[in-house]
Amino acid sequence: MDPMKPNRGGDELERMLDELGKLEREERRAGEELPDAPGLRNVERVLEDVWAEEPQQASPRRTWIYWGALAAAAAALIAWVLLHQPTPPAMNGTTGEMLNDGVFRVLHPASLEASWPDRIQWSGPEGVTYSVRVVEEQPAGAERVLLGPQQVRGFELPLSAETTRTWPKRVRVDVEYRRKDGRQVPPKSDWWELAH
Amino acid sequence: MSRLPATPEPEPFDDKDTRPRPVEDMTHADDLLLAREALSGSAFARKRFAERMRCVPRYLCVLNGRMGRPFQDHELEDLAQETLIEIWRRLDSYAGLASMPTWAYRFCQQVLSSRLRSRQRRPPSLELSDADPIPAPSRTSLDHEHVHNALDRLRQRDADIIRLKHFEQLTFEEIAARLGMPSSTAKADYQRALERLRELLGTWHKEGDGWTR
Repeated sequence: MDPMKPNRGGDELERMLDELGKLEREERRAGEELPDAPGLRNVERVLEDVWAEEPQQASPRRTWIYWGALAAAAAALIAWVLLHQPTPPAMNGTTGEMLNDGVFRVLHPASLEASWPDRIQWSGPEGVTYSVRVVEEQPAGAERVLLGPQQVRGFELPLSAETTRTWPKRVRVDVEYRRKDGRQVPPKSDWWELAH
Repeated sequence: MSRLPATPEPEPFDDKDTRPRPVEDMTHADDLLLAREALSGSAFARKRFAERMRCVPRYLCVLNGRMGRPFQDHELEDLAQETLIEIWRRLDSYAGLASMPTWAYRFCQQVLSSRLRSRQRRPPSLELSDADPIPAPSRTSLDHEHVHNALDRLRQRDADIIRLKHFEQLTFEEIAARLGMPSSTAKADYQRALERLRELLGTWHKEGDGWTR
């Protein structure tokens, strides 16, 4: 049978397809009537083996539980982060505690009544070493060094009562640092004066 | 086969149903739902699917007989396993146009033919004696495989229409209902599909008892 041959009293291709369809139906019918066949007893086992190797698929309910748990965990994490944000470094500036905003300056003590504060604080770039000193200004531009210069890698220098006990009523605090490229940054100064 | 919308939706499978429909009475729509449920992991649907697939070893046995029994029983067992795995792997392409056993029958044909071709390509084994030669496939089986190969090369919709017309013996009205189109469109599409199949078969020619390109 050649499908390229011209039709003679009907389409040969259609007849061939009909024959093929008929044969298949007969074969299927014959197969369905077979009482036994090689591998028939293993059908369930083969499929169960295939299913056992599949990754477990979550049911819609389990999917909702999964996403719900994930959302709850995310909310808990966000809450924890909000509640445990790192506390900004306490700096006793003129308006109370301040964040180090990276601007280089000496922080003025919140209160200067009858005693010196227990530390000198400043803000500025991180990762550099600051040089801190305290001087008493004298006539004709002279000055007397009361403390330092001390090298500090941070933003505060503790002051003991022993250190400040001999200080006059008015002092000048100088802080300077060297930039990472080696250039010296001019010192920032702050004048402290006891009220009493 | 591509999924098509014309199949009516039956009631979902219910594993609490004490009177499940016997597998032999299942409609195409039942089969389509069964496939979906089995793929989604329903244990009940998978059990029914396995029952439905008991036709596979039987079909392979009949096809093997038609081809002249080239495979022995232990080889047919291997082929049944291979076919079942392939059917499961491709189950998401089942569109419910034909019954699931009819759909599975094509896999049986393909796997059997493929194994036969690979065997024929192998050099003769020294273990085979003259008393146990590989039977040559019959002329009819070659012609059938040739037409099936051509059908497989057609566009999915074209092959679907031809199979529904000649293998399922549906009228154009029935084909139109199953594919969700007017019957005039089904008829026109069928004629076009037939022409494409004819062109495809025309690129082959008979040589002796077989077909070559």
